[in-house]
Amino acid sequence: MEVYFGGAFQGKLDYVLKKKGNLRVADGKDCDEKQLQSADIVNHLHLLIQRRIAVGESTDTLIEELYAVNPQMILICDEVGSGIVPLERKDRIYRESVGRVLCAAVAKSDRVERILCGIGQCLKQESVGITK
Amino acid sequence: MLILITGTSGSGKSEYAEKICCELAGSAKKYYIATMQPYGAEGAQRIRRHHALRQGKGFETIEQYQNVSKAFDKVQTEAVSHAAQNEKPVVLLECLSNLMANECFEEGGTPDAVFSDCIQLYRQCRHLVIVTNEIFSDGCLYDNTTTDYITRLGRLNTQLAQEADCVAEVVYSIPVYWKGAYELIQENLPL
Repeated sequence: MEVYFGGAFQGKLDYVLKKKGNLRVADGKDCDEKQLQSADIVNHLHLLIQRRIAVGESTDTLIEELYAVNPQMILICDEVGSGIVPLERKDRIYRESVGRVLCAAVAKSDRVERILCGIGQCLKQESVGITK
Repeated sequence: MLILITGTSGSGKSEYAEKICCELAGSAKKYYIATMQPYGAEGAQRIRRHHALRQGKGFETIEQYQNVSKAFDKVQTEAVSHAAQNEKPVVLLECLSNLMANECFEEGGTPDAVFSDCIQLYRQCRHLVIVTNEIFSDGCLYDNTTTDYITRLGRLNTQLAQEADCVAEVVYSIPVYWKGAYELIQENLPL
């Protein structure tokens, strides 16, 4: 598993596609289970988490489920935890869950990068540093 | 050199950008292109704080709220337009979040042209240091107009980072280089 995260609109998907070539992308915004399970890349993981929470599902085991389907899966996710704690309980659960899911994803991943301004910074790998 | 400095609100990114400019300029002419319009008491105070920070550092301020490629039209700069590369000025442009807001929401704005404006401005500079803003990680959903603005600023940051020699994120006054390095700037200091 690999995970790429960063702020919104930082060119994360472009960065990953450029690096990995043309792979099958499932969009967390609207993909169905079948698309999700056959994907090489899950983009907008935060929106998948948001959809699950909206229907009252837990995301505690999301990473384990995805890993079981495809241990090579590449996850792309917005960082959403930097603002004010939301008023709505559902929104609070969402933000917290994105953080917890990313922690689980990082634990399973052999490569983790954070993207800023379209540039990747490797946070987990044999050698840590800015990547080309 | 083209240098992009980013960071969150209150991170010390302005101060760091000023420091870089002063080093790169040495005794040469420095311009500060201010993009923030003084709205209300809080805006005025923010501007006063930035003024005080720059005080004594030898910047000439140009207020340019839109179309930054035209910033030098306002000053008598025969010297700027025809200067040899090493005689061109060192410029600090602050900041892209205000500039993009002015281009998106003020009359006569051309949000599609901000990237090319910046590149055109860079051609008139020996070194251009641009300050932008990290506004992308609060996880909030906004209305379409605001989302369009955030999308544009994110894209602009990414495009400029691609052109830049150095990209640094300032984290509470500590510069973290995402591209290039401080050593690269040191190599470009005037003799």
